[in-house]
Amino acid sequence: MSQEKAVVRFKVYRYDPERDEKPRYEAYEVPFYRGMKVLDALIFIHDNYDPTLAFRYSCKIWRCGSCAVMVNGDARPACRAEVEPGKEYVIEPLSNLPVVRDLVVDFGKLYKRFTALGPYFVTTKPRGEEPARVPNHKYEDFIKVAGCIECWSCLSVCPAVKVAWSEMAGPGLMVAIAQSAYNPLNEHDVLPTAFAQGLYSCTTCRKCSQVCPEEIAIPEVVFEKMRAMAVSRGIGPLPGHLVPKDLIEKTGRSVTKKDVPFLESIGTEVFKASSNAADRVGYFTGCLADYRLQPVAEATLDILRKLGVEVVIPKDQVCCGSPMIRVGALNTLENLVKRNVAAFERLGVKTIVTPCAGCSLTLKSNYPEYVKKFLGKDMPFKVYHLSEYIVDVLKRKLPELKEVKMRVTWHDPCHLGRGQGIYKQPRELLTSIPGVELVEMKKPDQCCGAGGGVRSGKRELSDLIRADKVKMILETGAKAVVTECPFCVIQLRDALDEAGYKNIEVFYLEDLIKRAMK
Amino acid sequence: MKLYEVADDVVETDVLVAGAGAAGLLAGIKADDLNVDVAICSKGLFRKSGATVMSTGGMEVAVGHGDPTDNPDVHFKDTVVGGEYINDQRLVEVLTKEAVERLVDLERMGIVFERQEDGKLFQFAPGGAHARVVILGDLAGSHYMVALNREVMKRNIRMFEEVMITNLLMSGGAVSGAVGLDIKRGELIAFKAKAVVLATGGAGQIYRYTSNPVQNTGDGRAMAYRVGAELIDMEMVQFHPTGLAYPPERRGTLVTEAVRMVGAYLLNNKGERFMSRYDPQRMELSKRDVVARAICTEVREGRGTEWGGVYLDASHIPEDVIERRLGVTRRKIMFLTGLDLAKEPIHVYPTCHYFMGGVRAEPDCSTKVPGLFVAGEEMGGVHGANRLGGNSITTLIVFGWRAGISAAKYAKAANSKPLNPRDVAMERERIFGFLGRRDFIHPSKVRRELQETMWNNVGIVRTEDSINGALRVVERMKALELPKVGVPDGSRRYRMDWVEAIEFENLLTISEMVSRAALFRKESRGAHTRDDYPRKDNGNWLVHTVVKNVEGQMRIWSEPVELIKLKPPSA
Ligand SMILES: Cc1cc2nc3c(=O)[nH]c(=O)nc-3n(C[C@H](O)[C@H](O)[C@H](O)COP(=O)(O)OP(=O)(O)OC[C@H]3O[C@@H](n4cnc5c(N)ncnc54)[C@H](O)[C@@H]3O)c2cc1C
Ligand code: SF4
Ligand code: SF4
Ligand code: FES
Repeated sequence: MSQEKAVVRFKVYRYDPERDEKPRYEAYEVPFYRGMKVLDALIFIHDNYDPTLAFRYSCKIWRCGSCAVMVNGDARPACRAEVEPGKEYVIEPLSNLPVVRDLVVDFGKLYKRFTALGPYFVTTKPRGEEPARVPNHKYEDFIKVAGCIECWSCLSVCPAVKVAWSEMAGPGLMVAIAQSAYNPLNEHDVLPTAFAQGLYSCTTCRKCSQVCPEEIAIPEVVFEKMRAMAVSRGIGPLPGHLVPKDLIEKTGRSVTKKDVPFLESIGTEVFKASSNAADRVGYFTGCLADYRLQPVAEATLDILRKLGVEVVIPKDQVCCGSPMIRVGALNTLENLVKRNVAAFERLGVKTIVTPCAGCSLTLKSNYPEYVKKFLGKDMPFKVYHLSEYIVDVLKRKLPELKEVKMRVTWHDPCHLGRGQGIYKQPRELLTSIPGVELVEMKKPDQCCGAGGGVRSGKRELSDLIRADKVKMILETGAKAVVTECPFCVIQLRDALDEAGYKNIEVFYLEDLIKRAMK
Repeated sequence: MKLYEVADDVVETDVLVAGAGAAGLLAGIKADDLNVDVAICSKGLFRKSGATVMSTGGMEVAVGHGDPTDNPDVHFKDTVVGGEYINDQRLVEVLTKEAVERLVDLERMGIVFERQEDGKLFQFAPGGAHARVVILGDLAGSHYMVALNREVMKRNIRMFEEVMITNLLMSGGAVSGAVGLDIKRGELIAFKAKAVVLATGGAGQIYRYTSNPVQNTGDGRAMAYRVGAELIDMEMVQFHPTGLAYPPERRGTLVTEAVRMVGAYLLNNKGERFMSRYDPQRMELSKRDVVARAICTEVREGRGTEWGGVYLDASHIPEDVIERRLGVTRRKIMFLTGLDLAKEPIHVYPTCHYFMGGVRAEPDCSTKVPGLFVAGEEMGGVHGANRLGGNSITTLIVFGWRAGISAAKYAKAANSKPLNPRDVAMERERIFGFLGRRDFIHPSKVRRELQETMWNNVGIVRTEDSINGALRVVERMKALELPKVGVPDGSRRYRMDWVEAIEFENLLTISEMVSRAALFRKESRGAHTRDDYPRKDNGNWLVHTVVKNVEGQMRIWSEPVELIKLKPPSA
């Protein structure tokens, strides 16, 4: 038996700006033990190999927020980052901040920003003898954001901060603002500051909440919630958001028609499966597949039927409401939720399937709350993303696929990957097409910049965010990008066009499958 | 010799606060209220360093919302009975009365307290006593730090982050400032101040296993000692009954009392709820020192687990209760130990948690050294021989507040005293002397040996022999190792090893104080357990132990406790 103990390998960023011309990476091997964290390894290196290695820590139990570093490209508190034996970890300082030495960054810039935001508490009431009487439920929103340990992990992974920190304070700082905004005794009005400092610059990509050690649902409980407050006071949304809002109010769809809408083109609402099987789903088209990307809708219907599923498509379904939820314009919602629930219930649907990342996320994560609120009952449908339905529920292979010889790369829509944890299913479908060669880009799940109303409301910021994505796509040498969200498709198409790469195709996954099925 | 020749930077202020836990921040805020210039230093990051940010339980305030029969008098009694009657009752009187007033003030700085639906505060009862602890989920300290830090920022108080105060400066018998190492730049700052508030927290780092954060090395106590302040009851170190015993690398990490409050059992390796032998009435919720000692005895007598602890078992509690009341704790424990609190027992053993002993102070936070004030855990005498859970945060708030006011008033009345450049030069020599010393001993090596020694010899249970053993090590280290402790020279930016070297002397000083005081007190009382003097002896030892630096010698004596309000039943 081998006497060798398991080790973990680390490549640690070393840099003393005063003495070194440029940073270097030093390799260390650290003996592994069960339960070891990155911080333990750094302490081991400091105690045993190099006492001059600089890093910060204090509590060791992710309470204080001192120790955040980049671990293989993602930020997290070192004491919260697990390690596995035999693996290698690259440890770097938080990005977006200047380095003092090694893993220690200078927070000066951040503090300046913080003081400028001024998320302070102010009261003008005369001092009473007793604490104020406030019922506990008034603190519900506050509690959701109070746990932030200010580790600033989120700030160094936010795509908006990366390209435009000057206009987007960033997730962690917005959490601080939210703490002020949600304290029922605070008289300091922070919403105008929030609005001016990036309230509408968040794409709701969820990268921040993914790295947050306290699991704060930042896009929802900070951005969307404060946007809703801003809208109710007439501070938001942005002019660009009013267009879809008006459209939804008039037509039930967030975009204008192009060609004959899919729902108008189908004769019937119930499509029997090509073989007779017991599976029956309702197809939720979403605005874009109905009005703009009709081939996607046709492909979806086709794929499901070929897989032996009976497909029900209520013609009176409307926008899921996602574009309005993201920007905080909630007054349109009651109508949409009621209409959609009625439409699918009318045809006895129990299971809803959609290939739209945004719709599926909204139906899964927002509808339960709204159905309860507006209809006083539990959400009556199970909701699946199409790829999830095929791979995890039906567990069937796509039938009769022809070869499509193509080198492609996959872009994970934020609302599909981080939003619903769906990464492997679409890849499985994609690679089941003979001839398709999948080359992963450096960060397939990095935001394209379209979501959260940023494309419609802040086009310049959106363009800045997407630039990185174009670079990553080009690096793969792929002939096409495949993805699964209408906004991503449109955004990536524009981005490639404007960068002069009209030759690189952008596919909705269903488009490509359809091509293989013909 | 000019000041700017020996210091890289000179900062002038009225009130210098060393330490930015809740005590330090509040002192700074209150001094600012009185319109004096304030500078606050913290060795670690602002808002993040120190113990306050780690506390989860909450604060004791007898405001009577949770229990209408509770009031400051009851709180006073609980504190003094809990402290085994050697508390300074003047301090306890202030603590319990003013806590209620401070509640309103804290709320006016943005601190949120959990409510009941009728709008009154939610208060809960640690150990089944009065429902007195105000909470905010399990955030407590972390939230206080956020709110107080914002208040400091709002007021634009000068903050010196990652600046370690290394020694106090004296002129004409009074404090005139301090020297600090700017860790990020590796430079020395001379602070000229009319008053200094020490609020550097506890000294858990003298022990091998502690719940304390890395900065808690007792710097304030050691600095106060060096300029001739008195320290009291330094033998009184609280060992929290439940620190993790497994995994060994994380031994000492605190497992909150809340686990036992929800109903978890302490079991030995025979599966017995052994607390029935030590305190059949209160069982697992007995006083901290009683539970800690019980666990220690079980392990010593061979009834411990394979990881040298006992089991803390919550598996009989319904999972939804655990999730609701201990969700965060459950996940933290899972992450650190790989064990699921709801399904299986974890291994626990006591861990060094809190210093009841500290710098002797008057109710206005002044010390025997003119111009020197203390606040927070730095301050001795409040908790006697044992501290109640939740009473520390109360101490930070009440005495942080008072220290700020007292220091500001003192500063207003005092004349600015010149700093002696020679003193700064000497300190510079001491600090920079650690760099590039020949044949140096790395601080982390000697530090570990000291911590092990203190843990084994002057830990939960002590005897004359064990304490003498510790003192021999301390004396040896003072003579042989201390002069050799050093770190390589080179770039001076952010040198943690350098900071450790500076801390080492402080750790030695605190270890010596604790050991000498523990040797001196020949009885067992509260957290201080002498195997050779197992009984409490009110006849001879209803006293404070006092430690003082007299011409370089550590002198120790006792002074009777003034029982101004409450007397022990037998006395
Ligand atoms: C894990 C844990 C949980 C706890 N839970 C509770 C609880 O629920 N309820 C309760 O009442 N108590 C609790 N306590 C105890 C309580 O948190 C501490 O006693 C209290 O926070 C001490 O506060 P402080 O302001 O005195 O010092 P700390 O909060 O420890 O702050 C010390 C400050 O001094 C700075 N410092 C240190 N040395 C120097 C130097 N040389 N120069 C400059 N700055 C320096 C540090 O950087 C830090 O800013 C807990 C303690 C721990 C460790
Ligand atoms: S959701 Fe994405 S864009 Fe929004 S704050 Fe978080 S990381 Fe930034
Ligand atoms: S929101 Fe989360 S990731 Fe961001 S600073 Fe706070 S705790 Fe860290
Ligand atoms: S050391 Fe405190 S969060 Fe990691």
